[in-house]
Amino acid sequence: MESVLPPGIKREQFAALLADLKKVVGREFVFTDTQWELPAYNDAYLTTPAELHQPSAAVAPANVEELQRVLEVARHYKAPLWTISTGKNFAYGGPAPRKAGYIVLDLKRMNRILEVNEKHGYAVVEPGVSYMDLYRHLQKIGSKLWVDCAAPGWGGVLPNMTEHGVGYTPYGDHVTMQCGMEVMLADGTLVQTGMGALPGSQTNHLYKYGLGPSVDGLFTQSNFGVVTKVGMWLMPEPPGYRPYMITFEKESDLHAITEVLRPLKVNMLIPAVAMTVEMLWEAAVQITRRDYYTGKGPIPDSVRKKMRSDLKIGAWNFYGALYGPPPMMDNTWEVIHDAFASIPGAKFYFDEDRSKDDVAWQYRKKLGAGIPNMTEYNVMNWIPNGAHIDFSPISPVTGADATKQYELIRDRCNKAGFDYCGEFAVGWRDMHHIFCLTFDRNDAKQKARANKLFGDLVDAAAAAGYGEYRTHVDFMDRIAGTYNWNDSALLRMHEKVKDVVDPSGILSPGKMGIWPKSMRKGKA
Amino acid sequence: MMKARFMSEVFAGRCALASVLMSATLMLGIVGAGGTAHAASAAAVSPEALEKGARLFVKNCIMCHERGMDNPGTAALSYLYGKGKGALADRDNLTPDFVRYFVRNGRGLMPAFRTGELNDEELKVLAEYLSAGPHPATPEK
Ligand SMILES: Cc1cc2nc3c(=O)[nH]c(=O)nc-3n(C[C@H](O)[C@H](O)[C@H](O)COP(=O)(O)OP(=O)(O)OC[C@H]3O[C@@H](n4cnc5c(N)ncnc54)[C@H](O)[C@@H]3O)c2cc1C
Ligand code: HEC
Repeated sequence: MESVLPPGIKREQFAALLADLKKVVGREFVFTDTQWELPAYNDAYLTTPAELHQPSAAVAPANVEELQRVLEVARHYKAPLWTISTGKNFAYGGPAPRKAGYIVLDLKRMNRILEVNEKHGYAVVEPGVSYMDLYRHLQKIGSKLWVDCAAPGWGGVLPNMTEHGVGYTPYGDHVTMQCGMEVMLADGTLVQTGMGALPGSQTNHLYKYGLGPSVDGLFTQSNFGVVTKVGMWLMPEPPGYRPYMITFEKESDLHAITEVLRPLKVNMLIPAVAMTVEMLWEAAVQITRRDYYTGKGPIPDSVRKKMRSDLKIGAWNFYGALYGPPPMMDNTWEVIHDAFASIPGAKFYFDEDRSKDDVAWQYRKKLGAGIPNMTEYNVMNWIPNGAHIDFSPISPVTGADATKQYELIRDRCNKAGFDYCGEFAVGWRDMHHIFCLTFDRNDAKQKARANKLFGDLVDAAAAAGYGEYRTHVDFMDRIAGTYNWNDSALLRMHEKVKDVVDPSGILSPGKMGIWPKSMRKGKA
Repeated sequence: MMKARFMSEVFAGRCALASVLMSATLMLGIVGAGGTAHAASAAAVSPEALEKGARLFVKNCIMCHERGMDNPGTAALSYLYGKGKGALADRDNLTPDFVRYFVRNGRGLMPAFRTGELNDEELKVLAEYLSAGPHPATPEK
């Protein structure tokens, strides 16, 4: 890998910039070695050439004081930074910057757990704290609070929230559970939002809104500041936890499942994010494609049938869980059971009905109780050299929408020669359709096909009124471009804010389609 | 023996991977004949360093490399080298350079680790720990 320069910066200036950064964080925390240091800032799962996202350097401050001085250096040289925290944003770009030459601002070293409040049920963390770190800490101190983690347990509590990420306990909507934020603006000003703006505040992590506009959202999926601390509400361990799985026989059952589910979710009988998982996802986490099929193109239905019977799974597999005192769980189960039993062929399972070796069940069971693990990465073992990017449109919770979305993606996916592998995650009123597009990272043609398919899906979904909830660095402009109501009024507003809060344009240029003035022309 | 199987399976099954490994092998001389590199490095590691290495393994790697097919690293390596041969802690043929290369460059679905999250000194200790394997009793998580 050849070294690159930040856009608009000459070699001598770059050398001076690096020298200044080293003065701030120390030599050992400015990374420039293209063989041993910078490859780790690549996205291992790119569909585009790695050169497009290769950083010129990375810098890792240890605390807010160092961060403040790093921003000062960046402003001085007008050098673009790309903020990451735990840096595991895989399927959406990993730690890789939007464009080549950016300097990655790596906050992994700011990894203190500042407070665990057992009484009120929250924790305050810095950017570099992973789910695994927080979980182990809670175990160590004997806390009775649960973590709510994304499927990959090495992800970060703070950055996953700022990306609008999801987990699988009743606290699965991470933005909703965030309370209290500290953020550094591009000019180095440190801001506490909400109640935190009151000196000596007693309720920084108990009440979200403070006085005046609620601004926390401005710093999620954005490049308006660097979030340096957040409070996250944590769920107290319930008196009982009983995860369940319901399998369905027919592909067309998706319609009925979704219709049955909506009232159960809206009325909060199913408190956690409810998952309807297509069979291939279930298969991919525990077997490989070549165990069953070595032909080209999508696997045929006959093979899918065989997998289903071997793994005791349905065409669709619903995961939920009961939480609470046993009598409450018993009552709720009766309602849930009866509702889903109206779908012919539905089969019901609890823990004792699934095998200890059932990898899919075992990791879902952990996720429902906030126990971090990495099992879901197994989906990429489906094919040799597997990698994946996620296409994740949002839709209403109706059978018609679920079916329409499923068919929209499945048909295009099959036509492009890929296996459909997806799941529907139902939150409060919405449904995230997560399509895991798996490809061979060593096959350039397949990567190009995956990239094209992804773009086609963006357009097809937008035409049907569905937008994506987050996206990969390669598709940020394209997807931001679909949110274009009233002559792109929202994007233009974002740009106005950007120009005011970051006039030098140093913070993550291009994040979610928001570019600083200096880079707005000639967008990729 | 594991090493022979490792190389032959790689060549038989996964050409692209083989070329990556080949270049790594040529560049670093990481797969030494007969495991002499292993014997030499194991002798040099102190019990304190081993304990530290074990802790780093638990912190950074075990979520993908613990025994069991629910761990994506162990699953991937089992598909490569054969059932029951996927756990890193059970290996007797890892060398520090080999571990260092994969940790800093990644392979397959394993992304590389950044110096800011696992520094060179820690990586050295971790690599020596793994190279001193097998470790029948991996520490608790
Ligand atoms: C197999 C698989 C399964 C997945 N399952 C899930 C899932 O269940 N739920 C889910 O939510 N995601 C999932 N993901 C996506 C992703 O891996 C996770 O969301 C992960 O937590 C994101 O990485 P991170 O937490 O390390 O964030 P980082 O990589 O540290 O940051 C992500 C982004 O947030 C922004 N950011 C980071 N830090 C800051 C900051 N301090 N201030 C301002 N902006 C910042 C940056 O733009 C950065 O690029 C999955 C991915 C894979 C491969
Ligand atoms: C995200 C999961 C994940 C994490 C975390 C992870 N690995 Fe891996 N690792 C894998 C996978 C998957 C493979 C197999 C790659 C392939 O298919 O070629 C692998 C392969 C390896 C190999 C190559 C073994 C061989 O003989 O082929 C080494 C060495 C290794 N990992 C070391 C580590 C170390 C050390 C750590 C911790 C610092 C670590 N890994 C963390 C997933 C992971």
